[in-house]
Amino acid sequence: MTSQAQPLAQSSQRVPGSRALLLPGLILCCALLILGVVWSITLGAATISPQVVFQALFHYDAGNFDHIIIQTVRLPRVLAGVIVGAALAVAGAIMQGLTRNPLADSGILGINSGAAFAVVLAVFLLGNPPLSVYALAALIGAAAAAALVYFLGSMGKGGATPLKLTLAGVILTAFISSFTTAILITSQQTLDQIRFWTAGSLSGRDMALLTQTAPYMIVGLLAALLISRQITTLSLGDDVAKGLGQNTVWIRAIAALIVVLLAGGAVALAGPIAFVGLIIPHVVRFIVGVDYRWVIPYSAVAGAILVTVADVGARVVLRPQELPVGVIMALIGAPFFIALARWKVKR
Amino acid sequence: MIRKFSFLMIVLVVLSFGLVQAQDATEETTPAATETAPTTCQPGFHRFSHKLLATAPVCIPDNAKRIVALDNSAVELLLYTDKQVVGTFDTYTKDELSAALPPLAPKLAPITGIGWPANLELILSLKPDLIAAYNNETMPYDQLSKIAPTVIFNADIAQGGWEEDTEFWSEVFGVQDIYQQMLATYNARVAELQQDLGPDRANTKVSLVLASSYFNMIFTLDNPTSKIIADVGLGRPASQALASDASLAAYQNKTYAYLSDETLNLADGDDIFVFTFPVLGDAVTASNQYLQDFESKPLWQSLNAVKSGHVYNASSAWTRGNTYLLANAVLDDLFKDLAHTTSKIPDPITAFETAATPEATAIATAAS
Amino acid sequence: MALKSPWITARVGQRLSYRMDRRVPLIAVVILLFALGTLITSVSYGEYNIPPLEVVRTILNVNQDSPDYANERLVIDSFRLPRIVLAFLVGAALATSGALMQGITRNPLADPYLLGVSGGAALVAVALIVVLKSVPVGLLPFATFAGALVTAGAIYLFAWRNGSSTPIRLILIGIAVESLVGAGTTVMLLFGNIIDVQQAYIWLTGSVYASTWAQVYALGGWLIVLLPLALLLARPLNALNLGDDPAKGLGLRVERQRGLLLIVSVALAAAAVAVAGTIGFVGLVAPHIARRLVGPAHEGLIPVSALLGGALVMLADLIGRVAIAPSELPVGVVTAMIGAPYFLWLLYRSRNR
Repeated sequence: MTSQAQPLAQSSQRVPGSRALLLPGLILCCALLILGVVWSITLGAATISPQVVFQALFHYDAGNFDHIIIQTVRLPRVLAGVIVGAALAVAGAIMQGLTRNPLADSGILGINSGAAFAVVLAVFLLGNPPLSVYALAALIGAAAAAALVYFLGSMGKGGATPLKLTLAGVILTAFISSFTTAILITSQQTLDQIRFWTAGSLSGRDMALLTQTAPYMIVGLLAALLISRQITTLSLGDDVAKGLGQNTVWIRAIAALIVVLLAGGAVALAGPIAFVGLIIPHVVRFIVGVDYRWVIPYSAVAGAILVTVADVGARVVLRPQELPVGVIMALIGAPFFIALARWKVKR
Repeated sequence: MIRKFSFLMIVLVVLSFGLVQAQDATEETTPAATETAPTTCQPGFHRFSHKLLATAPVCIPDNAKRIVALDNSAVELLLYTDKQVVGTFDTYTKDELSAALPPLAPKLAPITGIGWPANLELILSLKPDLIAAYNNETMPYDQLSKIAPTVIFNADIAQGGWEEDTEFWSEVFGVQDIYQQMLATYNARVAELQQDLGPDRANTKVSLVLASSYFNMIFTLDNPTSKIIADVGLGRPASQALASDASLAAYQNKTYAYLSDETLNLADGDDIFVFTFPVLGDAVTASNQYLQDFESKPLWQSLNAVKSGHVYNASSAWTRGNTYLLANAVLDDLFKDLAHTTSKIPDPITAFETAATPEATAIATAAS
Repeated sequence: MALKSPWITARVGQRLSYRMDRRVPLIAVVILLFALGTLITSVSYGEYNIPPLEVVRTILNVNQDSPDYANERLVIDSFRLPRIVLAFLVGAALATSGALMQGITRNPLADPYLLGVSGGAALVAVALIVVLKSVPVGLLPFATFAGALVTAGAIYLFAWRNGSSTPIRLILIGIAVESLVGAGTTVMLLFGNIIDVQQAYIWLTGSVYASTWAQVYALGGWLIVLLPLALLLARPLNALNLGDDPAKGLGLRVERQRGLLLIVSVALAAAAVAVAGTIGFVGLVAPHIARRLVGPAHEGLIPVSALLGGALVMLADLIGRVAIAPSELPVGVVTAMIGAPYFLWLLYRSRNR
């Protein structure tokens, strides 16, 4: 299994295009993101013309129903999508680099469901907790799930192979969902929140929740940029990193903390959304190569674009009904995962 | 090998049909399988048939004494006629009815809760002589009917108003006269309310909003509560004046529509009645908190009815509105908030308020 | 033969022989006794109070003149025994399926639902419950069974490449397809009526509430065919477990045997899911315990897993009935709550092997 992981990681280490193009490319991606954000704001169950959107953003009229929709419903939602997408994609990139596991993703590895369950538990136990508790519970849940999955997956022969980690994530998810069901059957009251959290949705996220959770993710993103050089070295293997005089234990611990901040924050805001962290780093590495100083910013921007576009899909597909964005991500991500497993897993 | 495979597949296919056959044989006893309808019944029993009976005609006791009632209209009618209900649902019946109709609480409290899903052995140990239920998919009719004669109200073809259910159960329990009284009282109160509201009432567009932390919804015309509004002759906003098929076409549902933040203006009208699920204990605080948050949203504040101060927090009776007493509670709110009068005919629930003295409860318990 | 052989061999005629670990019969008897104990406890417990002696007399049919005879007969014959026996059969089916799946994929973390059986069945069941609402009850098992098989088939096809379907690809693609159909289930749960949704959740967790003898016979019919087949496939499975190449070296037609084993495993799980919903962790845990008891050879592992799985689900059902009486926890919740921590501990114990 380990022998199979190696060529896998190698295969995506394509020689990057001209380095001179990387910065303009990133700027282009940012421009695309802004375009996507604007597009997303103009769409929704209510039909609002682009002019009105523009007015709502820059000449806000508190008495206008459409303006209120833009400011209190769509803007927070789009911003939430942007930051959640960036956080999940960077978390995935770090996990893939760190474990040299091409299938690493906070959703697949059960970290998201751990965080979501912690939120549900907090709601169940505390009734109506303040928003700050949501974020804290999610972080604790994410950390516990990450530790557990790693512990589970590294047992037995061969250490933490991608396959074992993936299965451990699946088992943890199954375990957590049965607890969720137990709460649901014994306490009908919590049913509402459970359905709300486990689907992974950006609907109804307001500014208050955004300001409570965004700081964790922003800190995580900045810290990820700061240690991107060390992650590049680690992704070449522990021996290489040690040879270059790197303290691998510390870097791993910090990177794990960053993953928890990013995934936990994202779940507190949007519920568990899988596959963003799986798809984006693969695409990004294919384009920019394996230098994590570029992989991380590109992943952040590309993840933001993906979730923004997926959320547009979530709102448009069954109009006027809305789908949770987590469902759209599964529809996009699962075939990607299948293709990845089909073409890259040789043995 | 290929032959082995195909043999295996054939065996599997045959077996899977066995699986279906076996399931069909037992579980689907609900409507069809009890086709061997009795033509004569034992002494003390009579044959009951009704167009809303979900099964073939059944033999039921002439004078049932111990009834397990798994339908809210049935429970209410039994309490109303002082018959003994020995068992019912905990959440759906005991808790919800206690919360929506507080004077009923002392009468509901001594009834045994049968658990979820319905505990068959507990029902048996209550020694019922009649089981009254509606066709909910989770109920094992087959096994229930082995415990006692079981009457099942066909909620699938019923129209949803309180009258149908109550009429059905009044025939089952042999209290048709009580149903006629109820109908007369209800009609008289409706007529009185119509008088108080004046002839212009059809021009008042009344919006019904169910607010809960998972979903907010508006009710369309085929909802039981909407039927009460229609009886009174009040108007409805265009977004809600949709009968079942139109509602299905517009909102994918026959009796209600989900409200998202963006479609909140569907809730607008001349007067908005907002209500929540009937809950008890800690849940009340959470429910009120949610309602407060919901009504302080800027979008909600921008609705015309909100701006003009025509929003009323109504009783949780509005959430279901499908029994006689719930319907009367809805009428009470309409008297209070729209007509600004009180009915001269007292709300039938007051009968329970006077009866609910500790002495009366003690007597009721001792009698059982 | 001075040395006592660690194996015993049963022969039927000239061609059929079955060789297994010497410990197997004894361990099987011990598990059966445990199962019997659980059965007696379970059949004696309930909201309708019947003294244990009376239970025995009712089962033996020797108390027909007792005044409560009719009720006791009803409780034991119609309410308790069918669900207890069905719990045993479901557990046996899932555990056997899990043992086969772990053997096929050579992975101790594999479970019977790996090939999307639970996801495919759940999608169909929830669609029927939530979207169609008044679905004929008889249709549900058939439809879920079809859903399970179609999903498993799709996974097998996706994993097929260059003339083979490796265990690793099966596992990974299984996970992806499961999350795809899971997304569909989520959508239906979100848009369903709250009461339908609660019913769907109970089905999703797995429950033997209000089981009937007809269900017992239906699943029993499956087991009568599939369990002996699983035992017959034990020897090729042992070879397969060595790896594809060594198995080929032993003259095994790897893909065909694997295909056959997968069909048996999926059919067992699908039949169990069709009657009782998706009960988790039994198929994962029971083969593990069995392996610790009788070793990895599948001739002994499969029957011991089956007995153990049956006994465990029976016990879980009893706990589910006692825990929050008069309401009950679905048996699937109990198996997960007990099974998952136990599984962690098991892994922890065997971490150095």
